[in-house]
Amino acid sequence: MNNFSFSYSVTQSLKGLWRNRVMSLASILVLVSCMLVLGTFYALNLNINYNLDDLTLLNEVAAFVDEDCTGEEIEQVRQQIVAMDDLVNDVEYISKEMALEAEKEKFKDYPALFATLQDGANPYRASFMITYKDASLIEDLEYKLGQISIERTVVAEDGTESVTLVYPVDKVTSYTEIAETLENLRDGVRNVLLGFMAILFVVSMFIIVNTIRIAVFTRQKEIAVMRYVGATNGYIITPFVFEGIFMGLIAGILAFLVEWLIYDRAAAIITSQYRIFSVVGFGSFALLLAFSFLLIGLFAGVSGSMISIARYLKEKE
Amino acid sequence: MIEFKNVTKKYQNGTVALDNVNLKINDGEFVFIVGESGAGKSTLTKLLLREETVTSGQITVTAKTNEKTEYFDLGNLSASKIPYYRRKLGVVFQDFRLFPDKTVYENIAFVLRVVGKSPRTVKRNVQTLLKRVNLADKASCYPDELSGGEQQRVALARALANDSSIIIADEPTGNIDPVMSYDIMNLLIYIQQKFGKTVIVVTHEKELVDYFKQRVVTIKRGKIVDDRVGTMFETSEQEEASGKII
Repeated sequence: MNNFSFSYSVTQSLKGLWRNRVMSLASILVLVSCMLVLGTFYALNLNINYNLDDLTLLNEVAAFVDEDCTGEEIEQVRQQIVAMDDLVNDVEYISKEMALEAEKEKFKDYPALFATLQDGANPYRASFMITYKDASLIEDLEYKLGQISIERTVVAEDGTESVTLVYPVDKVTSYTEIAETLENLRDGVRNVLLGFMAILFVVSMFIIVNTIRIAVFTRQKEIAVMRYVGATNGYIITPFVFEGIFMGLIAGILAFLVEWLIYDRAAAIITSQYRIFSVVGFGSFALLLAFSFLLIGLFAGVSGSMISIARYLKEKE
Repeated sequence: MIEFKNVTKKYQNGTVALDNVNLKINDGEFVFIVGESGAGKSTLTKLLLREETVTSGQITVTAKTNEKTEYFDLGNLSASKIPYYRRKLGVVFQDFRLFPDKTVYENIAFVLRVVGKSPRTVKRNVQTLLKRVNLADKASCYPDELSGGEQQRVALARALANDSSIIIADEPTGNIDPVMSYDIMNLLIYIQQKFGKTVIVVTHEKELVDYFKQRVVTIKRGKIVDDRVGTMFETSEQEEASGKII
């Protein structure tokens, strides 16, 4: 393609977009909707998986320990858990400080969440993360964890010492049910959105084909002259393909910006109201999303316009 | 050289537009193709422009330019080769078919750009062509600012832009006044004589044909019924229409 061909194609395609601006806008908006559905599905899927991983679901429970436990007592608890070797695979102690740091790391894109904490304040609790061997024995494990006891020497006001039995594990959290719910939600969301996206994609292709077809018809006299003076099909087609490309790229950029806006708003609401869920930062998948949107736009634009103009030229042959 | 050998064109609705036509047009010749409506003139033009293909027979075109001589068998011309064949032809239509949103200069330059000529060549050639059709002072005008005759001269300049060896003019005087019609026809004859182009003029204007005394091929009901140099052969229908007593 020489310089004239390129500048001619770009100019003609921009003129075409403007000439059929209502249809062009409709095509772009339908394509944007399609991309938003895809983007939303992807973001939901990503977040559900992230939360599933984050909770290390299905084979892990968290046993929270009494706030008053000393380091020595915690070690005793740990040894008792390790001793349950018929039920337990692995045990990891997570102190209050470690829990706070882990949450800060997880929500590093939302530092405002931790801004209200006063110096030294730490709302998180120390816990043991226990990887179990058999999910069907989870109730046994929970019971046994509740039965763990240590002897604590208590000094009374009059200075006498007495030994009492303390049950330091006061709460066991299992995520099995949440995991199942999330997995069901993920599968449901995937099926509905994939179907919806396929329909929207077909609709957007159909609209692009028709928009380009209208553009072709408004220029058919010009095309006829071009054919008589020996313009190749490639030369005739290119401005229309560029028109499709522009529509696709504009749709891609718009969809990315809208997705960004919606995601940020949704993330802020979820993190402030449903703190059990972790939200993946938009920045971590923005590039992939932008690239995918532009690629989809490009594909829809090129194929839609090619279908339309190729069909027209074939009819005229 | 253009040669029609036993050419028959039958449309899908059963109409036989051309029936076993044999015609030879030599390089640098000026030929009028005449005949009443529905005689087959348009089909002949369409076949020559490779808008249609023959049902049977063969059409061959040998196009000579300054650079080379090329041979085309229109029946065996692949779709991808058609644009390159059409570049050897210059076509002038009754309705001019100029781009209304382009100036006279741009209308002619467009053809040269389509075939990838450099900006310098485009500028030089367009200026030469505008002088040739006596429109150098109208370069920046839009088609709707020109008279019918002037628009047809722009179309003629455009037809000459690619240095085509064959000019096909389909009813070139149909939309212009009689004085301008002579002007356009003179220009076509000048182009044939001065530059050695083969010129084919499809028309039904008897007075013009008779005035210029060139080769006249008459088609009637899809057949060539007369081929002579001089005045137009009158078919019986035309004679009846003009009230002439046989």
